[in-house]
Amino acid sequence: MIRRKPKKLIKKLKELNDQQQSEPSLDLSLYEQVVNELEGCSDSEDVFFPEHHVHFVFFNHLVDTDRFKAEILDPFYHVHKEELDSLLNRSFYKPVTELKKIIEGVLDGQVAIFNQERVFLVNVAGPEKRNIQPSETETTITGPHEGFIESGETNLSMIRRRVKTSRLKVNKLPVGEVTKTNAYLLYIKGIANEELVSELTDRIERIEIDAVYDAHMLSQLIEDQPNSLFPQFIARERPDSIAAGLVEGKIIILLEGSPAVIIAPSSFFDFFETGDDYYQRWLTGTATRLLRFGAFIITIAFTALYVSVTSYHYEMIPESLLTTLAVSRGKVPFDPIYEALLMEITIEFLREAGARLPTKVGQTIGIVGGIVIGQAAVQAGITSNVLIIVVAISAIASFVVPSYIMSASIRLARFGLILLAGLLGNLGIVIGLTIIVIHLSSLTSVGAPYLAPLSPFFPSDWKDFLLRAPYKMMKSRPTISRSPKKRKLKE
Amino acid sequence: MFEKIAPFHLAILIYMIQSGVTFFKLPRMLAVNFGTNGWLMVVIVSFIVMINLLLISLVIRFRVGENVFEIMEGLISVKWMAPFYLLLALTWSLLSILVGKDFISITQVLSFQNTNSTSLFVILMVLVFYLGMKDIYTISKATNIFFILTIGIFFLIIYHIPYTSLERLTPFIFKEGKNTIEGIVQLYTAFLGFEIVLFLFPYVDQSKPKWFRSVYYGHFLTTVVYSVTCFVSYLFFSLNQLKITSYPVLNLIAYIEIELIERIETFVFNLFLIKILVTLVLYLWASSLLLERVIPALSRKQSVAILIITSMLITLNVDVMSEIADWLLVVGFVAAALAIGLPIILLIVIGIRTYRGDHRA
Amino acid sequence: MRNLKLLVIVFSLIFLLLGCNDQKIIENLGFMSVMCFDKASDSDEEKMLVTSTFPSFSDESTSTEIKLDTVAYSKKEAEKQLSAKTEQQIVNGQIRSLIFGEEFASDGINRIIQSVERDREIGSQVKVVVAEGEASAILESIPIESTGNYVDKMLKKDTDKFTIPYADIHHFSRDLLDDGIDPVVPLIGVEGKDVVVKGSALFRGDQYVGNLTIPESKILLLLIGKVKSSDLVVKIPQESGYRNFFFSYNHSKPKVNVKKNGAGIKEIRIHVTMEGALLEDTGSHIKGDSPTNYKEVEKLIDRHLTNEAAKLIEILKEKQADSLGVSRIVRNSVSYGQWKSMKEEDLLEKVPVNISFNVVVRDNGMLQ
Repeated sequence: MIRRKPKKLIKKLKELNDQQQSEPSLDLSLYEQVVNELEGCSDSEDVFFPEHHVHFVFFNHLVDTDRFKAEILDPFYHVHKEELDSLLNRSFYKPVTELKKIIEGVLDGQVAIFNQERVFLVNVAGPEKRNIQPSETETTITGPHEGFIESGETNLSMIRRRVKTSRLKVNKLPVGEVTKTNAYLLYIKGIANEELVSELTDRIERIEIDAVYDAHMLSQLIEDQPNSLFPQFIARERPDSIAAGLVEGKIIILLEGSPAVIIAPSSFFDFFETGDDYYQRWLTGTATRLLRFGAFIITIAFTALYVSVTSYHYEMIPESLLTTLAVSRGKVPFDPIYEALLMEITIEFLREAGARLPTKVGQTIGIVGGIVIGQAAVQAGITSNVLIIVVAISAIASFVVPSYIMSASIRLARFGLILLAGLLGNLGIVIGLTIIVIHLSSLTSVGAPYLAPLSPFFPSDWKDFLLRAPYKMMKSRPTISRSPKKRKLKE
Repeated sequence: MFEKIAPFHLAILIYMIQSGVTFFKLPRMLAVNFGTNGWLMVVIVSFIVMINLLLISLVIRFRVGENVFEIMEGLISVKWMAPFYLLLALTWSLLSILVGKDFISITQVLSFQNTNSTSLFVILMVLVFYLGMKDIYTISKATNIFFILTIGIFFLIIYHIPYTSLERLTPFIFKEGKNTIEGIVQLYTAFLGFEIVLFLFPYVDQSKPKWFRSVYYGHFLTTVVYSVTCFVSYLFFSLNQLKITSYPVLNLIAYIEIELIERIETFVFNLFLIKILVTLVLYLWASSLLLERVIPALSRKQSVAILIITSMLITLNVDVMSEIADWLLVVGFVAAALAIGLPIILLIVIGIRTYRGDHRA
Repeated sequence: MRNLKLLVIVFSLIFLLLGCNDQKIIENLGFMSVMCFDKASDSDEEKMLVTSTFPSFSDESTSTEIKLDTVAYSKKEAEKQLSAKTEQQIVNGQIRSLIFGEEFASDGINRIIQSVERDREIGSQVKVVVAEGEASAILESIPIESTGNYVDKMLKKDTDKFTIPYADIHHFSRDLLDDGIDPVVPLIGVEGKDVVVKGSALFRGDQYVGNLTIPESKILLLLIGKVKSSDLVVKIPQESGYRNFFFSYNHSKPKVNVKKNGAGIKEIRIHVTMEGALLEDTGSHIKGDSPTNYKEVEKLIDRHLTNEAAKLIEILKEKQADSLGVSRIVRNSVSYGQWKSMKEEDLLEKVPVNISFNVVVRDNGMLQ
């Protein structure tokens, strides 16, 4: 067996015919063309069996070494020259003739076998991947813990294992001019709306970009209004949520290399739901949901309200509370608006630093932040302790919103409200809320109104909105998925 | 599938267009113009409005599938209709601008005594433009949320029940009133907004044959909100007090005190901004339809902007509260006449066309 | 998207233009919690002495109360003058109570009430109180920091127990402008070093004309409307000394009846039914075989209350203060023409008011 780098081979080839350039010429063999294509890929391997005139071309790190040894190397070691044909006729040796297919196969982790003019691809792919672990961003207390990983195949298998029906269809669509990352579009035939499927397929095919690395990135490329502050497709990291989405008649988009999976269409309120709501008792599930909407309101308006009240509407606070407020503000040299912005930005610093640092250092940030903000800032008279409470409550509330992407959007919108409150008091808050409402109303998610089922009002969907009704009552699929089979179970 | 206004949303839309800034003054207007037990007049005038609505429903029933423009232009060509359309557009956009000015002037009284009212007004107009340039379906969706945000205010009235007394109502009906006719006109303008349905119906989901009922429901909701609030005002204030209170409804809200928050009127009044917004936007929307019919080259944004700027220029010097009230009375009177006149004119046109044997529909 | 940019630009322009003229940042404010009105010792009839207190937050963690006074022609003028005396911006949105001196109130307080009603910053639930003697003397005697709150809480405690009438700006103005009733407000005074609730102050129009003691106020409240819970000490003279009852009632309701003869009004009958518990009875000599006689006790209380009520009516007639709303009762029972032909001022004097009580003792406490 001779192993050598294809580079050297190419040098030889170049010496042989000088006029040959990058474009494959017709008189070169497929093997030579492939080797040509892979020029400069120093990580590719070319194994040559001189006695059989067989070349194996592959990427060592993309194949499973054990399988490669068992399926390919060992048979070729032991095979006699006469038996070679029957060996190559084995069913999982797939004959190929096109150069493009060969290259794609090799890049996918297959081994290309060249024997004279014949070429075969053998799938022994087994790249290194992460084990299945609980999702970091979408944790759950009850319910299944496994989360998606960065391997599309594994993710697909997790979904297929949950939705055992032949009607679960998968469209494979490559995205990215350079990377050719595979996107999989999943839906259940008969439940999902075919128009939406073709619309989304169309949108994915029309993407003009060099590379897509993550599902969140993909979702921004196929949204109705990509410039909006708010995400229009929710991406989840847990197979049970995805299975639930499929059954609701939604369309799932999976991207190779991303643990996040897009559900389309989504409504604004989907971002406030978690798997836990469904696994808990319906009353506790409902209570938790109401809590989250409360948290949403606090996140977006609480600090703004503090600014508005302390700088314009002192008469709104009962006297006993007012004294506390005024005393705590007594030493602060800034106006409430600057004070609030300062604290909010500090909290954002802390959050961002905490998110980027390793866990062990992250704790330090917590302690430093706690002491600096909690004690020193007040004692130094830079802020009032009432504001600390207000900012802390809204920061906590912002993390109650389950979707990180949505929570980040809301936090940004909050800064707008704080500014408006500082300028116009309560009127400013109302103006801010109005702008947000108008903007949210004008959003759509593959044509579905973003604020459904609140506006437009779909009474049948209210059983899975603010409420999480008992399962007996949830008999229809959400209106926004426009399923041809609206009622669940058999007709 | 989603791009039509469902009847339920039409009802909300009608309610939101109808109830506007006049609401705050309504109990005083009733007390001044009708005197004792003036709240009864709300019910009576509401009934007259119902008749007006009936006329509109007839127009829609006789000409299925045609919009107002097609009905009119079946008889008279666009060229001749243009001045009429422009006049209508101007009236309505003036009305909406004046309502906005009125609202801003109250806002100024409440919280911004020292701020220039023009800049507040411009902010309101920017909001109006932002919502007005969207399509009617989006406006309807936003209106639903606004409805949810504001309807809760109505239930605050429960707080006042312990402070009411039937003895203040007096057994006399419409005594000590000043000017009944003016009062009825003012009350009628408080109900205005329903006539927009003439332009809305092509956008309504008409799969249910009785969709027009939702217009009545919307009007009914307005009537309930108006009459209950006025009734409670009559029980809460004494008659002479009501006559001198500028905005009795605001005083009602201001009376509410709960443990955590006092004086919620400073917040609640601002919430009315979004109610006013809907009224303004829908009037401007109808006006822009009219303008675009005359000059089809205009886009929605352009026509809304033109209407806002024109009306703002016309009312540039109308700043003082009493001036606004005078203008509102006149423009409101014209708008009320249009609300009654327009369906009658349309019915006459339909009659003439039927007589001539024009059965295009 | 272009629109969004435009929106942002337009908004930022507007905000640059907007001044923050209307900002009221709380630590810079001096919230008046109470305003006292007295006649100025000056010779000028129109002038008044306004005293007010507000907290000062200049200190680090505690607030101290500052008391200031000034002489002015109107409330607003007084506010401006007070503001000039301190580094804080004086605001009136947190006023809890207006205290009027007796002498000031008897000249009429309408100008103050109207000014307060017109002022948008002041809420409607500001208490109106009359003080015996000088109003500013009340502020001297209040022990703790938050003066306005103190009067407010003291009055709330008593109005909740229906010992004195509830009166805020809205109530006062409402009854003042109603053609059938005169306002009543609580009366406080200083006894020794303490501020005490004295009873109620009667008004004729906006002028203070007289006062009622606490027991009299309780009876007035029984006649005006429903009482949810209160108590009475009933003293009935006996052969030797007095028999004392402590009657705690939790339900009472007046029923008004107008008797007419032809077009005129013959009399007004007010029948009050009360239900409650007898918690103290010094007269009964309990032996095992003779329990307290309910019927007898009920009758005794009935008679006592009827007598007291008659005395109350006499006081009202003497002061010409229609706190009971006699004219209103008449107005609501006649036609508009008849009502206009009547002279409102005479009604209280001319129309006899007949009051009867029906007391039901529901239980006796823990003893038979």
